[in-house]
Amino acid sequence: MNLRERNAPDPNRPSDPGPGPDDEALAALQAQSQAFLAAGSAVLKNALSTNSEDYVASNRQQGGE
Amino acid sequence: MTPPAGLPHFAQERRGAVPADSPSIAPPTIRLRTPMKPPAIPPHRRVLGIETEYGLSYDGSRDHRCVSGAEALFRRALAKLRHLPCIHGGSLWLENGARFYIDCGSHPEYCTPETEDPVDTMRHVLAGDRILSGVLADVNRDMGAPEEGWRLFKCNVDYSGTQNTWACHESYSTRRPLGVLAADLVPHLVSRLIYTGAGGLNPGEAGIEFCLSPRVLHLRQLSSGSSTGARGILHEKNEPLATGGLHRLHMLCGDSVMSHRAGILKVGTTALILTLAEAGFAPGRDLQLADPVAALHQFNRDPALQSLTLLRSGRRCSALEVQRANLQCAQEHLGHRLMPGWAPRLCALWDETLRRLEHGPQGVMTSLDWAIKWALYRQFAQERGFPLEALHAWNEQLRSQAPPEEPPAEMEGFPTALVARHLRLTRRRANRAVGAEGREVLRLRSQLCEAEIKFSRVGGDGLFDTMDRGGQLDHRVPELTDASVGEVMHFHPGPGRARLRSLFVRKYGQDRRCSCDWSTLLRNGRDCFDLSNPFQERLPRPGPVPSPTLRLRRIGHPARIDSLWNLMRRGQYQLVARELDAPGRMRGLSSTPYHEDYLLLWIRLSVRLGNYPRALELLEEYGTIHPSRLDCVLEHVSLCRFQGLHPMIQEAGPWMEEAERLLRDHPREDPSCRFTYHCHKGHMLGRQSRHEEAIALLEETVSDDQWTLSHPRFFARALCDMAEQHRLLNRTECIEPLLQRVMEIHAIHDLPGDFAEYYQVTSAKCSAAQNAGSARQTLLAARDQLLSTGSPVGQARVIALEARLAGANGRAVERRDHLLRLQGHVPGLNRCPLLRRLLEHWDEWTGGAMLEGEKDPFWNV
Repeated sequence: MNLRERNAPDPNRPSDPGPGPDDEALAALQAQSQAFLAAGSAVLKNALSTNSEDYVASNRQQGGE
Repeated sequence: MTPPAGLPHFAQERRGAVPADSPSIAPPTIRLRTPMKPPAIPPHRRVLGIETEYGLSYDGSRDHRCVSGAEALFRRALAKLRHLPCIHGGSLWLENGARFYIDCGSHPEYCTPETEDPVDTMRHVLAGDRILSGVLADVNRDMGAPEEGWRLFKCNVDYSGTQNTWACHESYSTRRPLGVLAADLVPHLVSRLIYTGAGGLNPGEAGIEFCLSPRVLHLRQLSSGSSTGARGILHEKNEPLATGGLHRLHMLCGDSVMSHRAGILKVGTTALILTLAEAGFAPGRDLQLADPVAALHQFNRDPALQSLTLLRSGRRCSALEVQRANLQCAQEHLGHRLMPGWAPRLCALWDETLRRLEHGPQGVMTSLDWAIKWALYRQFAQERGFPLEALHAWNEQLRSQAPPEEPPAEMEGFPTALVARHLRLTRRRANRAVGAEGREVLRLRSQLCEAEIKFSRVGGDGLFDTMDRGGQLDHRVPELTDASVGEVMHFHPGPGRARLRSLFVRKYGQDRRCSCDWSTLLRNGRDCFDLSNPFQERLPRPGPVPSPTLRLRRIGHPARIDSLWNLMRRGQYQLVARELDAPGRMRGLSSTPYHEDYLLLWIRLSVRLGNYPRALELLEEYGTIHPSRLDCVLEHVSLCRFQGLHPMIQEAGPWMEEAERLLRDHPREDPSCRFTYHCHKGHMLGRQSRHEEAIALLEETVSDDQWTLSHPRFFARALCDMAEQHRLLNRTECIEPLLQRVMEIHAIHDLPGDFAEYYQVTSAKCSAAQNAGSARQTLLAARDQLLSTGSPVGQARVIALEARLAGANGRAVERRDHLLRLQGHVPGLNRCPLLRRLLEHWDEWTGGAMLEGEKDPFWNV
């Protein structure tokens, strides 16, 4: 896959995809999402080192199944 | 101990029946029950379990000393955790009934005890994280650098170009074999990805490609018996670890996840599908996928959850629809007698999760691993000026320009740091080729890979844990509290045999006369408690210890092979021989997937027993079925090396040359083959009196200590060979550190056969000049060990050396007779020129004389 969203309706998809969210729930979901993204992004940025390429190379993990 | 408030109701009830325990007070009493007849296996019960493989790396340095980390972790665990050793050696059973060991590939692995409720399973997974991160914190503190040091990860794949994966295996007891359950199971396993996926990037992609489970990229077939090579959605291993007609479904298609909700659903929904299938409700009847592997990869690459896959019926269906149908089937049969008590709770969680998933990734962006990552990574990329469409275009371009993530073939065998530097330089050259914006995409990729590593770091400071502490996630379920996790670090409340094992370890932990495994508790080396019924609630009366061979006959092929290999590693050659040589034991094996394993075992055994003709015959057969020529060639070298007191250098020559050529022509061949070859070559050089060359080669070979855990016997033998070369060069000061290291390896891996045959023999020869009495004592201990386990070549060497040290006393004749008997019975010794020479010059040998041209006081024995 690639980072491509498939927003276009799929012609093979069944005509009734099931119940959708109501407006109120959608609004609440969006508000929650915004709050999460703001806080989560801050955590992510704080965690990154100044040179990610070196970090990944030096954290070569061994083993595995 | 007061039950934690958040525990499920049934667990609180159970806990009432358990003696009040805490790690700080006296161990509980185990009540014995007189009736011997084991209870029938209850049809509505099923045991569940998870094996977690952890990645381990050193944070804060370029030095990749992972294996040292695994070794340090294991040593510290030995000292810190109350435990009993495994009956077969090599792992620790902890006081909560769990098992901890270092698995092949040198990664730490933790198996939960058997549970019956998916919440309990997840509770034990989290307890394992805490136990191991606690031990590792001690290791880092001891090293005096707590701010950096070793870190544990549950990140499923590696992003530094190794193509390594770490598994999270699931086990379910079933009453029907895999073949019968597969049709119902496969649609579920393919579609459950939408809530079980750990999420992440495709490590093999030059650009940025997100998938629900990067590990799924390593699953290429529907069904497979392998867990390390061609992996399948279904794993064919059937090692029940139980009696009563139970099977064990062992699954390796799942991910390690951080989200409690995802972890519980992964195990719970799969267990319910098994129940529905066993009850005959055929949940997968209308969901048969036209191409399950293609569907899995299709769903994996679609975080928008819009993808439809083709069913055999011709209908197209989304992963969500498959899951909806499965849930509906479970809800319709909630009242059935075979459904577990936790089914309604699980179905409610399942239903709520699917409802959230109907809103797309946004609906689960705070509760499921993959969706959390997807939301954060998208946002991160967007903020850096790369919306998804732009990245899609960049992926195409980078695929054609960026270097592959693996080091080139010509770098094979180079030190890791050099390879990493080469990769960085190559990437930088490619960076220049793709221009400024392309370099930004590659930088973004590195940042996301770093985020991936840090997301699943275990020990509280990972990205997931940090967000969880900050209250930004919504992945928890009320029953699974932190307090309850803390409790099961020390005790397993049950139900079933895992509670008995937990009590046993708590009571007898550290008693060297006790040990256990999944279905047996062994007390004082003589009382054996049979727990082959996993639902057993009380200890049966102890019975006599079954002979290892009897125990072997009761278990299935995979466990039997594992046990036989363990016995081989421990030098119990006669025991293994009795099992393999028994009439009919190998019947029908040629049509099973285990044939090759048995054959190799038999070859190695024949070599160590000095049975040269049989080893040769078996090797010919092995060569016709084993795909790697190099492996077969190295087995021939082993045959030349180990069959007598001195390697058959002339016979080994062509095989060594071929091995060298194969390694040169196929530099990507399994690196362990290169290690093995160098160990052999170092030994052969030493035997040809090329001492300096031998030392240099062996020194280089053991400089990479990643082999200490995966190949401890070879590693320790190489160290002994080095010590031997230093002895011959009179460099006594170099010997002690090498033998000390061998001692450490033996202490960790418990290899009594090799300890006697190599360490004690080398040690005796090295100390003979200073202290002949002590050397004789060492040889005596080695002889006792080798006589009891049945290593004829080892016995011959020790007896010969004893005769040399004892001189021409009354035992010399007895020893000569013993050697003559061995020479008569053991083909490898019969054709050994060195033994013949000793016997021909017996008086000189026992008289301490030196033959002409001989420089070694031990005549190279």
